[in-house]
Amino acid sequence: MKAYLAIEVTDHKLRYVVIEKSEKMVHATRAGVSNLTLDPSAQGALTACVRDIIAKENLDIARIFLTVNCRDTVIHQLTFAKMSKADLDVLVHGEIEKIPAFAEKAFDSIYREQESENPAKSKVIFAAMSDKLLQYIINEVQQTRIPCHELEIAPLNLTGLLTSADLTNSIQSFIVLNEHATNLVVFENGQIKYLYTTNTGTDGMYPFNSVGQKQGITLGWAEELKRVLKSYSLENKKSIDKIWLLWDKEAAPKFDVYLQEQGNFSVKALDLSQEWVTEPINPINLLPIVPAVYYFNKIQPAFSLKQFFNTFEFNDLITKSLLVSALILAIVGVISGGMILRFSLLEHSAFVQLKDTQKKIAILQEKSPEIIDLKNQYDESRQQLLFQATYVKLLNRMSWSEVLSEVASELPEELSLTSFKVDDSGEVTFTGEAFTMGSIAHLLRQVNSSVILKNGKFNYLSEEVVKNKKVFRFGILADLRLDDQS
Amino acid sequence: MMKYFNANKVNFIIMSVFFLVIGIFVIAAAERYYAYKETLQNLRFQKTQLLALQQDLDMTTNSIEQIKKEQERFKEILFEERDVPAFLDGISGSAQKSLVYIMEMKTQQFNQVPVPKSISDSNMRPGQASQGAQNQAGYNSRDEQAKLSDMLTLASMPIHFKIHGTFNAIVNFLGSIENYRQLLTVSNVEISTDQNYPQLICEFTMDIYSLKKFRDI
Repeated sequence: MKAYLAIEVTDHKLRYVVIEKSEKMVHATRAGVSNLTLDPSAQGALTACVRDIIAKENLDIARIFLTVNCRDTVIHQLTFAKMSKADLDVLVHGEIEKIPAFAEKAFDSIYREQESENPAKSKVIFAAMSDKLLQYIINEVQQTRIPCHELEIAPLNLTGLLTSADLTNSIQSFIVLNEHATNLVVFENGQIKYLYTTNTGTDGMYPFNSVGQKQGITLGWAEELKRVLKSYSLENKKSIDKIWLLWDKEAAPKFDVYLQEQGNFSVKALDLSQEWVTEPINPINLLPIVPAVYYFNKIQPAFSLKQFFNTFEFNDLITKSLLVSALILAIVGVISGGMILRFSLLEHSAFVQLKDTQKKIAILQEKSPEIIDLKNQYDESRQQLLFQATYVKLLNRMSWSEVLSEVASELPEELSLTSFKVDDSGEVTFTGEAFTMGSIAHLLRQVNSSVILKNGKFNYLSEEVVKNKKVFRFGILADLRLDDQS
Repeated sequence: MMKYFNANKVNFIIMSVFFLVIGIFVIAAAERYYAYKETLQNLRFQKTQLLALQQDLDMTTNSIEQIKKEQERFKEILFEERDVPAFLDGISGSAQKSLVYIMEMKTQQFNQVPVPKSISDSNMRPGQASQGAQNQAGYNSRDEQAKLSDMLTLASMPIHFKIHGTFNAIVNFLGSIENYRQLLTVSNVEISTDQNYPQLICEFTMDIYSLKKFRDI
């Protein structure tokens, strides 16, 4: 089971309580004190002290709860006339600056307006801590690498835990006896009613068994507190029922008895074992475990000191934001870069192909007129050859042997031809001789009825007498029947 | 620093810078993506254009090859220059077989076969064709251009024959000529008698055809 470490840092000591969570209660397993002089310039001292405790106790710590209780912190109560929050901010800030320990120093503070019996007045309780101390303590604790997000300035939020029946049935008070100072708190129903701080602490009182001046200081301290309590009772017309005391009981076990007997100051050790702590512990050790109780029970303290971590959490948050952003940007950058590279390469490749294609197109376009021209020439040549072939076919469509045979067969026997001529255009010329006109007329009829000739007509006709015989010389023109044969 | 800024403000600034940088990354990546997409689109368009151009050229080249093949096939039924002597020998042989005596055989140069305008106008009618053949002025006007190229044209070489033989021999001889494998035409046939009847004299023009380049004619 993981343990928690509650530490209280004072001016000269580091008080620690090792605790475990037991349902809603805190179980203090071990406690102790280490010597530590709180010096913000002593870098690593607090870290080393915490690590020593962890090593010495052989602890596995899940979380550290931090309580600060030293001179460079202040808890104070003031009463002002009612005013706006902005004015109150300025006023409280000014009041803190008036405290010598905070004069001209950077500090962080919180305040809270308490319920006031007088509606015209504002009762304010504030707490402050110097920035230097705050940064030192938080930095040192964070260097242990153990989570620490709860901070308390003792005994600011102790009142909020005083909720058991015997602590809420009347107006009561508790006294915290620190080393450097004493806090007197009057409370009612878990609310601070009055807060008083005196600069006398155990540093001036112990050891109690000595006599003389120190005893006088202790009794003087008791008298002062009694006067304050009496003054409060008179002023508010309310009697204070019980006075609880938180002191280092291990160092001064009979201090409460001593006060009763020697100072006639009736006080009782504060014991929260009924509600928050599993068993009675040294009252002074209640201070460091206060933030743990709030944390375990998820109670919001009246005086939340979360804002004191803001700078650190801010830095953490910024660092984390930057780291996460940088990581996501790196991933997105790698992906985008990859995409950009890929698309660039693809585009380059496409561009190269485009140029290549354009070159090919240019070559083809350059070549194509030549080829088209050649094709046109071939087409023309083909057409020309077709025309020529058609023409030759026309020339060649009659068989001369058939024509001559046909002419010979149709020629009358009593007639002789002297010439037979056919020219390119198909015009046929017969010249011949005959003894009778009838033979010539017969030939003419034969020509007109021939399958190869047509349009027979006389070209000329003459008559001669040869050897006492009449001879007719004739010329006949005709056309070949090319139409019919084609 | 905490005195002037609170965590929310600083976080807001960090987040603003963070999202700004992310935005820049995203914009840069998007810009590259759209640039790539645009180039790709352009490339696809150009490739389509190239493909279409290539297909056009392939079709054109195929057409040329087709025409060349057609010409080669056409050549098979035509004479080559080198075939002419052998052909004339063959003619002499045919004349002897047909008992025809070749009195005269005159060859001329190859000349382009004229195309009558009536044929080139595609309104050719057989009757007009023979008339158009005489009309040399109607030849295709593109001939001159074509002559400048290596294109082929159909050329004919007229051979004038004067033969002597009987009517039957002449008919047989003309028949043997017509049966020649290669393309030839016989025109201007004129048969006349002389004192040696039944021997006749026949004059005719035989054209043999060959594919010639314009420049060679």
